[in-house]
Order: sequence, then C-alpha cells, then structure tokens
Amino acid sequence: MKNVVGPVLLLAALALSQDWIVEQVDPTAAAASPVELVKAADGRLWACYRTAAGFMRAACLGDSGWSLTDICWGYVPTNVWRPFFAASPHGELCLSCVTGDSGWLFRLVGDSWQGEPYSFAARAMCGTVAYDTAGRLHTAFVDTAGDFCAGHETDSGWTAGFVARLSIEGPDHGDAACFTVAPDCRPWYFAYVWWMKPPQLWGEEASLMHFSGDSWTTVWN
Amino acid sequence: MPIPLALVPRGDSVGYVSLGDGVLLCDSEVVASVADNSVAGLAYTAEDVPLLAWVPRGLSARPYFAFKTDRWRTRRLPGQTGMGGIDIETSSDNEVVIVFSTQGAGLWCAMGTDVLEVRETPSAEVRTPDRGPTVLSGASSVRRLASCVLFDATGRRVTVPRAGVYFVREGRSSEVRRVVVVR
Repeated sequence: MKNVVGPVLLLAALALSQDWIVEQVDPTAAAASPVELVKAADGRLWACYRTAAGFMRAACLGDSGWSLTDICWGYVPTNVWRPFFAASPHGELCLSCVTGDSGWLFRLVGDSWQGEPYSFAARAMCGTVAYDTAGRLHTAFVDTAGDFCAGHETDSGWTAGFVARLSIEGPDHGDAACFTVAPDCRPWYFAYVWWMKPPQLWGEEASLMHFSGDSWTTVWN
Repeated sequence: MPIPLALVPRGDSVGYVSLGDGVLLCDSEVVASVADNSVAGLAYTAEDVPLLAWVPRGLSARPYFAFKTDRWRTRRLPGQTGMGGIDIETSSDNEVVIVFSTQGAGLWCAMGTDVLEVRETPSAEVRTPDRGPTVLSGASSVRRLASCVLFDATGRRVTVPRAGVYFVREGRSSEVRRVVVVR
C-alpha cells in the first residue's frame, strides 16, 4: 500500500499544484468589510478592517503568522474613500475612522494605539490618510458643501484647503476619491462625483489632480 | 467616466486603478471586464511591475490577480470568494500578498511566491492548469510550511523541511501543491 501512496500523491500534485497559499486571517471579520493592506517601515504587512462585533482591527503578518489587535470600536463610513489606513516611513501607522458619532484618527506609536479627534470633523465625518516620505501625515475629505479638500499636519497643528468642486446637477448624488502622496511629497487626488435622475444615473465627473507647490493642477478630467 | 478604486505612489508620480464602462483600467490601460461595483487594490514591485487584485463584481466572486510585464497577465485566485474589500502589497520576501473580505467567512489572505513568473498559455480561451512549483526561500517562508501537511516525493510525512521538493496539503483542503525549498 505504501508503494502506491507516493505515485498517487505525485500525480495529484502535478494535477492540482498552485502558486498561491490561501489562508483565513480572521473568521470574525465583518461581512464585506473594507480592507487596506500596508507595508510598515520594518517590512511587516498590516491589514486593517472591521470585525463583525464592530471593532476596527489591525492584523499584522509576522514570522509566526497573523496577530490581531483591536484598535477601537468604530467603522469606515464608505469603501470608496481610500485609503483609511496608512504607514509612515518612520514606523507610524494611522487609521481614520468614525467612532462614536464623529471622525477620529488612531496612530500606532511604539506599541500603543493613540486616538485623537479628526481635526476636520466639523466639515467631514471622516477622511483618508496618507504619509509623505518625510513622515508627515496628509488627509483628504469632502466637506459639507461638497468641496473636495486636502490638508496636512504641521508643527502647530493641521491645515487644509480647497482642492476642487466637481459639478453636480441633481439632488441625488454621491462622491468617491482616492488620495496619496507621491515620493516627491506632492499629494495626488483622484476625485469622482455622480448624480442621478431616478431611476438612472444621469451624469458623472472625475478628475485626477496633484498639488504643484502653490496650487492644485488638473492632470485630466 | 472612470471611478477611482486605488491610487498609489509610483516612481516620482502615481499609479491608479479605475472603473469605467464595465472595464477595469490601470493607468488608463484596460485590464479586464468587470461589474460596476467591483473593488480593487494596486501595488508596484521594486522593478515597477504593476500588481492588481480585484473582485470582479460586488456580489460574491473569486478574486483575480493581474500583473504587467510585456502585457497584462491575469490569474484567478484559488479558494474563497471575495466581497466588499480587497488590497494588495509585496512582502519583504517579494511575495505578492492579497487580503480580501468575504460575505460571511471572514478575512482571507492569498500569498503567491512565484506568481510573477511568466508562463505563456496558448490563448486566453484555452488555459492549461498552472503546474509550476512554489519556490520558498528564507526562514519565514519555510516556517510557514509548519502549518501545512508536508510529504516528500515518496509520500512520507515531513516535519522539518530541508532543501528539496515537497508536496503540501494545506489545512483541511484536498488541494496539493508542489513546493521547492531553497536554502
């Protein structure tokens, strides 16, 4: 019997071999949770997502597998504003989410997650986060007037300004955006709006923009 | 009009993934046909190879992975169906790592160790099974084998893999992979 196992296994391996190892990280993650995956300065990978119990959780992939840490009770209001989780080149991680009824930032400094109110919570429920190569934290959000805005942290606090207003021609509308900072420290913004005349999508507009030093420049729209 | 799905640093500029008119675009190039509510993640290797992962429709579906060398090459991930969120990065061992949400089975991770190897197929319609081995090098990769059931070519169980060719059965799965351990 033993003589048969080897060849059978070999044939099975040749028929079914794959390049991927697929494993479950966390069975308690919320259904269809938004998820971000970032590489920290030390090379470790971190995933951030929401659990079914309502916590924002970070999963870190180390040599012995995934380790899970709850950051806060909260949620990400949409999966079309990204990223909500970022890694700095100096070892800091940052999560932007809603906890309670307003926006918060949670930063991993050393071994502990430290929360602070989102500085633009009066203008937006929540925003995206991204670090530049110097380790400075940037954010993007859409304010209550529908303007796309961006800001960054300074030595004396946060500052933010207007980026663009995309035309919306109907009361039933929505927005989405992706935001990042290029290696030359210029922030980039990919903004999108849509509007409906029910029951159908009536119009949409998108724009890719970057900050050129003193103003936002449209690459295309 | 393209809907933004991901925007990441690339060289001195950025790369992006968007969705428009039923197609997934990476830096304005068409990668695949998808539904209007797809989600995607984007990363670049140190050699500037774009890596893309996406769930092709908002309802539960097996995630896809694509990368571009001379042209876009697409692979469907084995195992779980995804839904809601997906993202991609490279590990410090240069593995491709994809995490994705599911409808009710939690968060999953797919790690590909030699998935950027170019293997030509006769045509997009007639694809043969991917029979290339997974090549593991480095202590962390080999340590991950400890969670798998490992056999050598004669069918004997192996608990401490050294350099050589092995066959892996992961967890309760019936799928078997060929693995080459390189020291």
